[in-house]
Amino acid sequence: MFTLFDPAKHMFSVLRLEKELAPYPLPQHEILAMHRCSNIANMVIEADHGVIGHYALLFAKKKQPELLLIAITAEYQRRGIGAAVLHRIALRTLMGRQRGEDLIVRVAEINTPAQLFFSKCGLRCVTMVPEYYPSGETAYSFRGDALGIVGNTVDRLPEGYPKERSSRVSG
Amino acid sequence: MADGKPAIGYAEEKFGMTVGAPFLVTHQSRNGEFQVGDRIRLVSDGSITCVDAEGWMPAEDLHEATAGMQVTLDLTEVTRLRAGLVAELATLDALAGG
Repeated sequence: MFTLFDPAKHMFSVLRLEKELAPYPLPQHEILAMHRCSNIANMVIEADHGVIGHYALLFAKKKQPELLLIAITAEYQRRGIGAAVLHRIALRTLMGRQRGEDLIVRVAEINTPAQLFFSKCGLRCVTMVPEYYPSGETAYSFRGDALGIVGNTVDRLPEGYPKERSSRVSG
Repeated sequence: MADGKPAIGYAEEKFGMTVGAPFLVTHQSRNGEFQVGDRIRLVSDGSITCVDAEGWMPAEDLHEATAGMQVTLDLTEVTRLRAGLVAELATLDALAGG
């Protein structure tokens, strides 16, 4: 389901997703820059022989991991895939670092569905970042501790998603 | 194909594409990167640009990304381009003659 982004296999699919879903679609050169950045995990989500979503996670030294972007094609939304992404990220954060580590994500002011989604997954809006986007639009900064995210997403995972490891960590 | 990667002329050889000419994808590539109806062009550095994806596929990735793809010359776009050029030529002729 989750695969490392490979420009030869996924570039056009990711660009199409960005164009379809993102309020501020990333151009190819920015996607390539993220791909070349060693502390960004750039992943695609595949199902039924195609790319249905992608996400990018920034790991900076002495900082909380930050979810830079997440996009899932409309057809596959509300099936628990976004929850599975957060669940996976939170689990890895827990395994790699200390418990209580926070995950950060910034969401556009106009993107209410995303704000609701992150709230349901256990993240809370903690601050406003004025003029975060090049257009001058404000972003809301959401933050949630990894353990809380695991707990809030475990019941939202898609059918067939392995839950064994998560129940061990959250329990 | 010296190091296993396609040379700059890969798309020219495999699909008969010429630099700058508009082509249409008629059969999608195996990995779905190129989809039916995509408007594409070959660039002089060997990469293929795609209007619909708003991106380019570099020459070194074409072997993998275009596997299974089929293309045809986009005659509608050729006609449109030609009409634009003819109109421009008429304007220039009028300027030169007038």
